[in-house]
Amino acid sequence: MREPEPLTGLRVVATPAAIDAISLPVGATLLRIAPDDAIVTRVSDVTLDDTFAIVEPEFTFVQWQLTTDEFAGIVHHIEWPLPEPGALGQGLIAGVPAKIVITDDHVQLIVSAGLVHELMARLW
Amino acid sequence: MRIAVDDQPIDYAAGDSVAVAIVRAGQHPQHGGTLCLAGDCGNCSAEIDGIAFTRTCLTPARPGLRVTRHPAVGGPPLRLDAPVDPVASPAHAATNLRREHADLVVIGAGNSGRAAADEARAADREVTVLAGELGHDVVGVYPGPLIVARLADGDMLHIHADEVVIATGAAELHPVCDGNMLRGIYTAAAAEQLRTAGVDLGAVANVDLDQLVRIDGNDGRVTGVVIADGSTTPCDSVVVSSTRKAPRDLLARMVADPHVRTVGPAADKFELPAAPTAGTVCPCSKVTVDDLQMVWDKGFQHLELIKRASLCGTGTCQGGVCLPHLRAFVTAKTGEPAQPFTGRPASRQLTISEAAADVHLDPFRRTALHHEHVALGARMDRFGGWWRPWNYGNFLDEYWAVREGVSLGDVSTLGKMIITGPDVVEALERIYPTTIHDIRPGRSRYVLLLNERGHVIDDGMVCREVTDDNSDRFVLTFTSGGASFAEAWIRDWLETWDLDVRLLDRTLALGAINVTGPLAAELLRRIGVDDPPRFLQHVHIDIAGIPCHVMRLSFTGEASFELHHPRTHSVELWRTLMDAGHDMGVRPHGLQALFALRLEKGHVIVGMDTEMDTTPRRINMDWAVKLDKADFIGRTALLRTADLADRRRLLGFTMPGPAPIEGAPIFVGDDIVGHVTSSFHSPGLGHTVMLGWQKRTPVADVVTIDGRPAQVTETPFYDPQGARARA
Repeated sequence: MREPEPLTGLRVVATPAAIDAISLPVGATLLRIAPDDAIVTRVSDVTLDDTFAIVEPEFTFVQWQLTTDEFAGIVHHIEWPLPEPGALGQGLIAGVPAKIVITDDHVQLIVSAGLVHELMARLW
Repeated sequence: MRIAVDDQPIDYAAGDSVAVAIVRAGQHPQHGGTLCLAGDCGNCSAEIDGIAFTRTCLTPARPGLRVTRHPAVGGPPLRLDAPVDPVASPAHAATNLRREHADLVVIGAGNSGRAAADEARAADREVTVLAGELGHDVVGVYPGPLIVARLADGDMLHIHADEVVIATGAAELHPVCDGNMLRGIYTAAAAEQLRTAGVDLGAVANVDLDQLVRIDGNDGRVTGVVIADGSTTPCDSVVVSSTRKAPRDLLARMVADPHVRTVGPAADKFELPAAPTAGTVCPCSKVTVDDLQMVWDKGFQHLELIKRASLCGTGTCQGGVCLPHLRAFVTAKTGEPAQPFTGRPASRQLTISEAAADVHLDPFRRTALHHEHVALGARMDRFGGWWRPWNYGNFLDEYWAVREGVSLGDVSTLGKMIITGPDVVEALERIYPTTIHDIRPGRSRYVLLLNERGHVIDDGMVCREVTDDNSDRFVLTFTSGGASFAEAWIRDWLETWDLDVRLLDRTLALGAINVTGPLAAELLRRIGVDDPPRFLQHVHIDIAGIPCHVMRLSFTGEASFELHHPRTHSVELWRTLMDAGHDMGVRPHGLQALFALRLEKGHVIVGMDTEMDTTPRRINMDWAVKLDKADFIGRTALLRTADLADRRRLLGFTMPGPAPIEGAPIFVGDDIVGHVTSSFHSPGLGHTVMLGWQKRTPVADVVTIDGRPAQVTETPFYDPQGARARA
């Protein structure tokens, strides 16, 4: 399997309402990890209605854009219900914490860079 | 067409199972015992193509198949693969696992199974049928319900079902009498199967189970049968029949789940056979009636206890043969109907690979510097959920580099969190046992983390950030192994207190390199850090163009600077430091050297030197607890126990000579009063230093460890004034 790409963006910890209200520019995406925690990609800054928000560059994760066929080859490693299209699904994949986002033509597979060797060894 | 049995070829006919082929050749798959040829017993199990305990009656014969009979006494030999490298990443599991979700699963395709399936389909339900004749070997039913099955193609199948119907039918009873382990005994259905296959059974005696008294034999083979009227019938084969059949309810007994029900003969009430008086009750575990009587006489007078004491019912068939007779034995003794024992997965023998299909070890993280360490010759090992360098060949070289020069350590594994919010100071005051409000921006403080019982669960640093708007923002650090728990712990409390706080765990986003040694500051100056922070200060600066949070502290006992930075730049920063310090003899140090260095300073490693009920007082760290401040986690417990006598103390010890092993008992006279938690023969100090527990008062000044006297010694053993760390 090909090497993953870094998942770059901003990590935002703020009140859930402030994250709900984030206005995304065209092309940007928001991965909602928790009500008060999100990764915003393809932005250099983000405006938040929360004085105490934590906004930091994100270096934790790497990602693959899998084709539908590639995803079909690993989906049996996922015990939890798959997320709705566009939503972030999180859980163990082959015993490794990971995240997926399913879109019409691909699946975004995200894993901590520190665990990528484990996931690759188990999936491919 | 031939198969090999014990490396001797035998012919088989089309459609033969391995068991039928073996009987056709005049042999027995084992060394004797009744054959049912229905998968209910273990009397035909053998090693097939290297897999032991395989039922030959359920295995079709095919050309070249190798069968090795289990030994008459003892189990089949354990065939081990090549030795496993204990520090290598685990290999793939060899067995694939398929996961499915289903509406209704019917186990069994007999009359009752078909009826249940038809009824459900008529109600527009989606039905999945699992049955041996369809290639499914169901080995377990778990709450959920979850069904685990082995498939004919070698895969394992896990089905999460909304409802399960067990329709596994009933099994023929095996005879229990003298001679019941001879060759040439068959159940009625087995005999019919053999006749249909054209197998010659010789002279056959058909007997009813209730009339059977004894089976006679010679050289392991049947020669005759004696029935209740005293008559003897000479024969080559005995066919035993009975009007009673035992429910195949092992799967049903595995789970009490309202979504699992049993139908048909598997659910029928069952009239037990007569209590056995002689012979082998449990062929799998070779348990005789005499054995049952012996454990009964020893006081094991409950079916579950008899099972455990005698192993009756614990073998290949999990009670398929013996349970009716065991129940009859107990019922006759007590006069009360003995209920079946609990069923537990697996109902069939699984290989380790099948049992572990898609089961993985906990994943271990790598830091961004993993390949740098490997390239430098590091021996990597697992610590606290991470792969970490233990040493780079010679840990004493690393030790001296820290003590006399400069060294780099990869501390990316430390827990790192950012916390802020309007209530952050209040939250931290409640979380930590020391004061937080008086930490000035740009300063840091060592902290313990206690639980409600006042026991130490972690430690780390609290760093107060300098912010443009004077808002309160802190960076917290934790131990490598404790970070994940600490995050969950803190979040739990913040939610409980309903405090307005933001928390971000940066452990996996940031790398960290510890630059330590008397030349550490000089090395930093070489790469542009003109004014390194002083002891317990921290600053945010760019180093070689990389944004770093530099914390000045010390775990090694020498001046130390932790450079926290984006993990994407770890390699670049590491190489910059190694290059800049080349002529200074800079070298990396691993955990082995780090553990030794910190031990000389008497620094405790939580989890290694502490126990699950270690209080600050027991490790002489009362100074890290401010009982006079407002409430914090553990304060009530510490106040309550503060005036109580406490015999436990973690103490420093010194002795000449080599270091005893960690864990060595500590003696006072002939009494063990504790054990060594950390030990190291210090080349710098010229003697061995240790931390260890004394759990008896009065505390002895001189103890015996490893047969040698050891002296209780104040810590730190090295640089007690801390001048080098502050230099």
